[in-house]
Amino acid sequence: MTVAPRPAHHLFALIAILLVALFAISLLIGAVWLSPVELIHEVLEKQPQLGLLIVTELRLPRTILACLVGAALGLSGAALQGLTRNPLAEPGLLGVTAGAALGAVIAIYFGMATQYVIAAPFMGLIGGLLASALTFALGSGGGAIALVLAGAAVSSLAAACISVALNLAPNPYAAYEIMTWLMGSLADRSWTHVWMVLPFVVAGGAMLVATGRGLDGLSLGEMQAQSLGTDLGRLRISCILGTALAVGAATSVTGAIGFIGLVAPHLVRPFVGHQPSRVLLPAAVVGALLLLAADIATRLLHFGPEMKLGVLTSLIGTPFFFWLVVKIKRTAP
Amino acid sequence: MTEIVAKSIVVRRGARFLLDGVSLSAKNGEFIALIGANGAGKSTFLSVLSGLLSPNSGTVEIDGLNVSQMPVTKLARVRAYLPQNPRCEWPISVERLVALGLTPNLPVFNGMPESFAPAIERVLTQCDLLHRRDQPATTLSGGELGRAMLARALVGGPDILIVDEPISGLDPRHAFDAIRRLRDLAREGKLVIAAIHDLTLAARYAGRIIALAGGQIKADGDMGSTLTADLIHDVFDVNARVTGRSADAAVDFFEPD
Amino acid sequence: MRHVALFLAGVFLVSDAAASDLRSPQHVSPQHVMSLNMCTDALLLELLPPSRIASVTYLSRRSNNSFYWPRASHLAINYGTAEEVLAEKPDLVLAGTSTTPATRALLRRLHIPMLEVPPASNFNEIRAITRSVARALGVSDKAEEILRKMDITLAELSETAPRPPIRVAAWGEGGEVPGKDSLFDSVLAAAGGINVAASSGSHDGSFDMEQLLMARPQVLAYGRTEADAPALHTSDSDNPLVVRLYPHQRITYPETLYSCGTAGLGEAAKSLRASLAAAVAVPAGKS
Repeated sequence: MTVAPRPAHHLFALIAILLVALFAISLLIGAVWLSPVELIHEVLEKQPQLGLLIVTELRLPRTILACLVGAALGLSGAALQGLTRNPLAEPGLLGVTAGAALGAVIAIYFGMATQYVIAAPFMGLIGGLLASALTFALGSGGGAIALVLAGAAVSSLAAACISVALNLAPNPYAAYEIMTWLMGSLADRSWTHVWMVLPFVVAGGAMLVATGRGLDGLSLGEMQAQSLGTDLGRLRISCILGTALAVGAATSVTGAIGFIGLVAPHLVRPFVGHQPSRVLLPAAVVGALLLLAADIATRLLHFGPEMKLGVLTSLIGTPFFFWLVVKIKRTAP
Repeated sequence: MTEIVAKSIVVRRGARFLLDGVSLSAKNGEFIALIGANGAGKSTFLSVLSGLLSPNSGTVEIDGLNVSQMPVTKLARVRAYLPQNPRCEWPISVERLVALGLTPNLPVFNGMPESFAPAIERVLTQCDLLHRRDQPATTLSGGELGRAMLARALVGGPDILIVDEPISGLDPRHAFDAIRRLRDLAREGKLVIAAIHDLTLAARYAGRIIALAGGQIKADGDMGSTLTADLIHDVFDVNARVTGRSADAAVDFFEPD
Repeated sequence: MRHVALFLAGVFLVSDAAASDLRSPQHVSPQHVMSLNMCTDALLLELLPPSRIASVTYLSRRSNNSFYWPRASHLAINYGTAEEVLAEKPDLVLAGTSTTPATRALLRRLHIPMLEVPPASNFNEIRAITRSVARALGVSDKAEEILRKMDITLAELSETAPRPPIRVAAWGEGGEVPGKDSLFDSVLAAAGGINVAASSGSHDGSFDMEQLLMARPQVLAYGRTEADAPALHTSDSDNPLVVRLYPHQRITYPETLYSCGTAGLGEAAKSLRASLAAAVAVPAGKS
């Protein structure tokens, strides 16, 4: 019995190698070029020198964060696409990242985060939950396009609220930071951010990975899935709550990053026989890969002020989005 | 010996009664055709029998156990349900689609055990899909997809098969094929309950007929004696003529007055 | 000096014809002056008694924005709109060269006497601009008095300046780094520091932490406006690497106060000198 398509093994080996390579590149690339030879010398010396400290305290957490956030986005996109059977579903397009950014903005600019470190990712989770609840309430049962439209509406609403919140914030520079919130950034993130986000991403990720079997059943439609013993309500909650946990917390640290959750599952699907449960983990790894590559690119491309992550993910994601829309139109009844 | 007993099923939506005191008792070896006009409550009744829809009142018991209290995996193993016009959302292979029918039997961790392979192979052969096992399900023809879904339903070895409109959208050749399979399954000892709109095919292949109209059972009995022109007029509000019996049975319709 | 001359030329060129009449000694000095810009507010508050000030912007009431906020709290405030100008009917309006162009254009069209004051980016320009504005207001003596005080303070600071200058890396609150020729640069230089970011040749650029650390400053200075106003960059000073390398060498400076070129910056330089001295007195972290 053919259990796994043979070519997939080679592909996953390739992805793993690529991830390791990009991880290493990310540690070496930054505003300051540190040669590997220098770094090795520093490792051997008793006292850590500045160069090594930059790698361990600035670049390493940044790289890990890129992997965590990218994985959260990819995994969530795969789960949402499986749940809604909609190839356009992803946390960005369904308004989750915008809602999470709003939650985080409220926590950070109005003082909650200075009192409780956990406030930002927690509010990101709440914002993500409310946004997805609204999107699903508006858009369910209206077909593929209705859900994405609902997500666009919720995103616009959240972005407008972010604007208002930043204008009302005590800090006069708050309004200028809107670009970071709407376009995302990993600049100068540290271990503090990694520890803050890790438990949420792990919890949310576990919840999402556990939806695999239910998503497979959903390939046959809701009634057949239910007849096979899938609890549809619990499946929906797991997907949405898992997304809010993982992506909500991630967004509170990086701002809203789009399209990773859209593209990663599609890249993976042909290699796993299109089976929803088998898309989940590979999509997480590919998501990590994509975001890491985008972050490395922001450090390589210098056109004046820092180029935001979201700009790069949009540059790759929007053509893909267009292609998907055309494909859907062709196969629509 | 498998038995399904439904007692006084009532399903209400707002002020409207979709099912108004419907009862049924059936056992393995029977092939029951459920007929009725559009909106008569056939799909609702089949959902309730499958345990997928909770009635407002009344119970459904399979082998003495209330379906609403049965663990879902046990229920999934004992009865299989196929909705109207089933479709596969992703282009997964036919083999994987069929394997989905074994979901209730899967262990908590790890994927599909090797021990499932023979069952899958058997049911693919039974439904003449062996040569299509690696083909994406979304590229199958209507008849082939119908067989694939049937294979999915059968792979877990259920005792009861509940099917909503198995021949809708099928050309005559595939319609015959589908309904013949259902009859053969009943002869092998399964209990098959199917909502069928083609009365001629129902008359030829099903052994028992249940007619639903206005949320109530108008008739329930042996096909040969129960399917009459009067019943058809009651249920469908149209004139008909029933000729022949068993393999020669035919139902013709005339223009309504 | 050439820069000063250019600035003066700029000031006079953009002024309205009516305003230039004010410079002639026969003309009566304006008695009802309105300011539409935070920096011109400061100039007004420095030079004129409250009775001659029609209104200043609402920003002057914030303690972090101006040295003169106690005085501003008793004055009328405006929000920089042309409507308020028309309602107030001042005999002179002071605006900044970056005040909303549409507003300034409208006031010019309505022939409202207006003086457009450019921003200052060093102490020479502070002197030139303070003097020219004072001349338009008819309070040149007052200007000389405050400038003399400023010069005395600056001279004192210059005599006791640390040699070599203290290496400082600064971040504004918006995350940008003040570059060469910025006002902050001048204040820092007067305080005895040298702007490490400016030495690297960028003109108000954005640095990330890596670059700033590799420049090996002695002190990190963070611009802050209000104590309880968090933003994305307010937690930069808590970055674990920064805390480790600069445990006691992180200071804050009142960013908005440094953005207006007034004579009060002499005192600001003195405070900054004190902060810097305190910071370098403590040994730095391991690096």
